[in-house]
Amino acid sequence: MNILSIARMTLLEAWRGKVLWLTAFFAFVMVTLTYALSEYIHSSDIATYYKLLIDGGLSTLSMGLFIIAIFFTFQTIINDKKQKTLPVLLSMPLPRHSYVLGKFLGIAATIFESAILFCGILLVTLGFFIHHQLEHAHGNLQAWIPLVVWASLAFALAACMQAVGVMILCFVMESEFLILFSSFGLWGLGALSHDFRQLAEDAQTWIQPVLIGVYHLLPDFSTLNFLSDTAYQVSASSSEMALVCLYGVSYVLVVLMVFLMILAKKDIT
Amino acid sequence: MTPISVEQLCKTYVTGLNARQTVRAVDNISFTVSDGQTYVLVGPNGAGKTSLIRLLLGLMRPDKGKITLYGENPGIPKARQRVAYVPETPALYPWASGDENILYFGRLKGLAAEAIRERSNHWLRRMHLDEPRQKNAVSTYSKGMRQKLALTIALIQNPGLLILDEPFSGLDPLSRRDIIDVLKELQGGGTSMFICSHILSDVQQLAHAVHLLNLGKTVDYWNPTQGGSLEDWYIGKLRT
Repeated sequence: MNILSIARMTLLEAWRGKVLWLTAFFAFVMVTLTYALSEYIHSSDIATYYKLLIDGGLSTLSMGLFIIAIFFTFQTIINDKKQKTLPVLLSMPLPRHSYVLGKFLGIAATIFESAILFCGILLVTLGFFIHHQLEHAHGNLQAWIPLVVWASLAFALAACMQAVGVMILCFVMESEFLILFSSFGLWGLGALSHDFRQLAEDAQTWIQPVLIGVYHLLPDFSTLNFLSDTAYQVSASSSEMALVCLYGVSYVLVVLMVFLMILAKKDIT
Repeated sequence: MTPISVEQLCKTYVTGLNARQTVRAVDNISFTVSDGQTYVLVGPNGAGKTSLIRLLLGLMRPDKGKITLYGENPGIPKARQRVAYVPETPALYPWASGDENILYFGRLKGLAAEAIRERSNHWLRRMHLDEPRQKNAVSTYSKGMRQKLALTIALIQNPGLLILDEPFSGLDPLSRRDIIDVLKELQGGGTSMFICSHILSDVQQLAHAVHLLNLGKTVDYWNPTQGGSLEDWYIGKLRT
C-alpha cells in the first residue's frame, strides 16, 4: 500500500513537473524530421522512405525515453534529499525498501506512459504520411503497428534499466554534476556493452574474464534495441520477446536488490 | 515505556578521500525523555544537534552506545510508529497542494482519508491557516505557512513523541505564538517532545529539561526550577 502511495506521488510529480512536455518536445522533433524527409525523398524510393521514417521516429523515441529516465530520476530523488522529504519519509514507520520500490514504480510508470504517448504520436504521424502523402504507395499502417509498439516497449524497458542506475548514483554520490555525468556515461557504456562481449570472445588473454565481468555488470541496451528489425519489418519471435523481457526485468530486479542491501546499511544525511 | 533512552552515544563522520579526517559529531551523550516531558537540546551551530536527531530517527547508525524509542531500536520501522518528525526546513512537496501533502503523508502513516481530513482541519484551524489556501501549491506559501503545514502533517499522526528541529526559526512573532500555543496544548495532552532550537526565549516557555551540547559533548543541563533566564545561563556556560 505504501509502495503504491509513493509510486502515485512520483507519477503526480512527473505530471506537475511537465515531464510529458519533454515527450511532446521529442515528438515535435520527430514530426518535423519526418516532414523534412518527406519533402526530401521522392516517392519512387518508397522503401527507403519507410525505413527512414521508422528509424528516425524510433531513434528519437529512444533518446527521449533515456533523457526522461536520467533527468526525471535525478530530479525526483535529489529533490527528496534537498526538500528533506527523504528523512521525513524514512522517519515514518516505513521500511527503506518501500521508498525505493515506490519511487522506482513511479519512475517506470512515467517512462512507460511517455513511451505509449510517443509511440501513439509516431503511429499517427506514420498513418498521416502513408494515407495522405503517399496514397499511391499503398502503404499498410497495420503491418507496422505491432512492430513499432514492441520496439517502443523494449526501449521503455531499457530506459527503466537506466533509471535504476541513476537511482543508485543519486544515493552513492554527493555531487550533482558527477551524478549526471555518470548517468550519461552509463547510457554510453550500456550501448557499448555488447561490444565488450564481442571483444571478450575475440580476446585470448587475461583481459577476457575482465571484459566478460564488465559486460555482466553493465546493462546491455543493444539487446533491447529492435530499431533495425522494425525498420526492415522483421518481427521478433515470441520466444525472443520473452527472453528480452526476462533479461530487462531480471536485470532491474537484481540491481534493485543489491541496491536495497547497500541502502539498508547506509547513513541518510 | 520511555519515549527516548540514549546511553553513551557516539557518532563519528569520516571525510576526505585520502586524509580520512574524522569529525566526532556526537561524543558520549546520555539522556532520557520520559512520558509527557518536553526535552530541549540547545547548542551553537555544529554542536551535533541534527546528528543526534538523525540517530534518534534511525537514519544513521551509532558507532557506539544505545538508543531506544519506546524500548525498541529506531532502525526498526515499528519503533517509529508513535514518532513524528518536523525538520528545520519544512519537508513538503512544493509542486503539490497543502491538501495533497497532508493526504500523502497521512496515508503513509496508515490513516484513512476521513481521519486525515478531520484531524488536519482541526489543527489547521488551530494554527490559523486559512482553508482556501490549502488548494494552492505549497510553492506559493510563506515560510510560516509551510512550517504550520509541516507541523499539521506531524500532528495528524497523533504522535506519542514529537521531534522538532528548529521549529521557530525564521517565523514572524504571530506564527511563533501560534506554534507555541499548539505545543503547549500538546504538552497538556501528555505528548512527549524533543526540541532543538536556537530561540531560547521560546523554548524556555516549553522546556521541562534543557541539555546544552557543544562540539558533540554534553556541557551542562538546565532545569526551569533553577530560575533565571535560559539565555543568560546558555551564554555563561559557553563563554566559560
